Amino acid sequence: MNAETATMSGAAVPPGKTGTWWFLASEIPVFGGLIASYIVVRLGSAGWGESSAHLNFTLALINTFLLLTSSMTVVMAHAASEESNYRSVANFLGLTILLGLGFLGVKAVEYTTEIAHGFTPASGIFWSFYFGMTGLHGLHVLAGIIVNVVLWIGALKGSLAQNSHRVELAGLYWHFVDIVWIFLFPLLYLA
Amino acid sequence: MSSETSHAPLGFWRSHVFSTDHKVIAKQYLSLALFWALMGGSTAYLIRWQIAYPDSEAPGWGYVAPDVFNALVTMHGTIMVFFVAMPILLAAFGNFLIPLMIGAKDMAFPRLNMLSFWIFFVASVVLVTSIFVPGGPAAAGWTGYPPLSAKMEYTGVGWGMNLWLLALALEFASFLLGGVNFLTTAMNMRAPGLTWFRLPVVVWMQLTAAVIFLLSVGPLIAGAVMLLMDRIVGTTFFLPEGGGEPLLWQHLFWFFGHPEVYVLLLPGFGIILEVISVFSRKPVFAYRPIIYATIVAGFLSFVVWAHHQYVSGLDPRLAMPFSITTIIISVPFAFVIFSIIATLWRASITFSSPMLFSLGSLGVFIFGGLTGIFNGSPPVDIYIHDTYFVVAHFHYTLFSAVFFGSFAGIYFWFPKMFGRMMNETLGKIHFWLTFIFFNSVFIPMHLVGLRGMMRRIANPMQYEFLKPLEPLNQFITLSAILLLLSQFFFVINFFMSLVRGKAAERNPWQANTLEWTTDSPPPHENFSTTPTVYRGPYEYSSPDAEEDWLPQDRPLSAPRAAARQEESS
Amino acid sequence: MSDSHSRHYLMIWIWLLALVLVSVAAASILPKVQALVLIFAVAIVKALLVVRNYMHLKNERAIIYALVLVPLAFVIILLFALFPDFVYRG
Repeated sequence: MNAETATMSGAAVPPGKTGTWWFLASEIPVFGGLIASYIVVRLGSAGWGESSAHLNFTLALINTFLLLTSSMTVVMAHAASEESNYRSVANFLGLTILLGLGFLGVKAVEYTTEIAHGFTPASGIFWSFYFGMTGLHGLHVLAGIIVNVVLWIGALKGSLAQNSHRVELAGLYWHFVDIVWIFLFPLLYLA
Repeated sequence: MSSETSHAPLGFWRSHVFSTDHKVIAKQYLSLALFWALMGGSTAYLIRWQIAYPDSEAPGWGYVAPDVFNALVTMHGTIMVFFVAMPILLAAFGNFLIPLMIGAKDMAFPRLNMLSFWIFFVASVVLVTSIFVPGGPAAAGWTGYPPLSAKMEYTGVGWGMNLWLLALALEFASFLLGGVNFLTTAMNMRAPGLTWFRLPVVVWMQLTAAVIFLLSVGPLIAGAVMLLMDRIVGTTFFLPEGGGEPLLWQHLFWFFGHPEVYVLLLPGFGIILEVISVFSRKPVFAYRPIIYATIVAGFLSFVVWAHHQYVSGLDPRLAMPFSITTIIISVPFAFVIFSIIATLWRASITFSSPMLFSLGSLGVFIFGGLTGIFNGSPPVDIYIHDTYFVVAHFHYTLFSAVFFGSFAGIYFWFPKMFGRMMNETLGKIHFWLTFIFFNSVFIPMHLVGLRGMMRRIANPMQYEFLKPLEPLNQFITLSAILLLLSQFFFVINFFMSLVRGKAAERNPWQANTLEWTTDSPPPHENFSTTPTVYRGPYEYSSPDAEEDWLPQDRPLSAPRAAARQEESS
Repeated sequence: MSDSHSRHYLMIWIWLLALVLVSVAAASILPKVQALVLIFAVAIVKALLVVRNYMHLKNERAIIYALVLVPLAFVIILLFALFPDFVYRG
């Protein structure tokens, strides 16, 4: 980031953060559109409660804990990066990655169990939305994990020091993905 | 982003192919878009031939089968909107102009910029591929309504449609990243003294368009994922037999589709405003209100979408609110149009090629905007929906921004982009032929639509009530062919000027904005020193200057400044 | 400095977990409609906690707030516009 350009117009928000928030602003209508569609189609049809009863509530609850905790660990990584404590950054990023992988692992167990019981994406509108929403979310989790791994490697090697602000930016994306799950969990499993 | 004011010269690949320089990237987008314009024009030719002379052999191609016709109309729309209009108006002009006009070295994220182009390139490859796979390319209209688009059996198109969706998704990703870049650049990298309200209008228009795109494309991305899953994985989001809702797609599509037309329109407006100001030697009339009106229109654009769905089976109770918002949105745009006219009023006008195209754009938009009001009213729309009246309407508004606006911009900024002047005579011929033939294609099309001719039908002559329209359709087709051929004047001019055009000076048009203060073409990193801005961009015929123009970065000389002080005290 | 930050983040985490448990309890104890209202109110509170404290939105300038609120507003408009076609039928 070029300090000169940031001061050129006196803007207080650094370019990387501005760019990340614009990106997140564009992601809100992606999940928003999908979730709004789910809500209205569900409210307009009968019998979804019966389909959703086949979901594994316990696993989803575990996933909720995993993701919420990972939000905490990634913001701890950010705090550590502000103090240039790259050992700590690596530790917290590592935890975040593990929790994210755990989330995907649990999701994989859920999916395989459901499919084994005959509930595939082709099993009707509820399952279309279930697999569609959690699938798209899962892809976003995977992308976040990849970004976190890249930064984690940088923290271990010491090269992250030149771009330490990226930990915060990766964290912003990760929190967004967590917030989407905060809504998906009750929408799919509690309602 | 480290700033490298000097580095070893880059090789051919790094400076011309994998470049992070916004000017190179702009030209890459422009070149690829001009290739797609050729493709899009070819689809138009074949469509019009088939309509005018159904089931005959189109010269240069042969027989156009009905399912091929469906693919042609689909690809025509898709190519023109996403692979011609967006890359020229937003990516090429936005990339080229924004850093230059704000006095910056480059975009905020140059490498992301390069990535954006290459994602668009991959999207282009995917779309071209879709033409050649078994089953042919997508054929469910550029709007891709399910159930037709959701199951292979309905169109016979398999991978062609899946690749179409993938190409669109990649295109959206490319422009999303581009939009993030444009907005961050403008927010963070303006030169000292360049406050928001000293920015040229075209920059405001680009930024507003970027915001509109960024915030509207999401639901369509969601919809595209859903449609792709319906086709490949067997979900039933849009298939009634599985509990799905075809109408849902329409909402998701048009929630994006309507703001998208303003994404295309605004850069066009911005370009013509710049050109008109320069060739009128007058400031843009009501500069700040224009910006506010545009932002208001931007917000309104998000709440008008269902006017595309009046006859879709939409809940009738939605028709009224959406028609009210649709009528309201014409107000800010009318305001902008009146301001453009006021800019011209009593101006010292030079009818150069860029100016002619800008004036043409203005006139064509007024016509198209007026027919929009007919379409926006449900009682009228019930009759004209899905007829050629709608096609005529949107070609007027789109041609205004995309065709006339782009050409105005290309003729105007060609000297800056390529360091050479284009041929004025060829430019004028290009304009007049385009203007005349464009109107001779699309004015009769309103009549054809009002007489009931439906869209997307391969052979209108199979319907008794359309047979009397045959001569008119043939006239339209002939005009369309002449319109397409007229573009050769541009192609010849463009390439000839690239190699043999007169060398361009820094500021051939005597314009005020920052891009004209540096070389033509600008060097890497644009400015030898970062400019300082002292005033707005439209100080033409200013009392503070001897000439009829006053650049943004020129400080007023001391005697002049003192004289000004005296005058005002 | 870092300690107080860490403690703050940990506190928010505890709250988030507690709120999850509240939602789960509500689902099994309360009648359907009340449970749904409470659960979604809780989801909004959890999201706000993450956005304000972990994403530091409370320390950011107004433009960043706008980047969250404006898209949300459009999504809500879309949601309500979809009701007549899919929820209030016939």
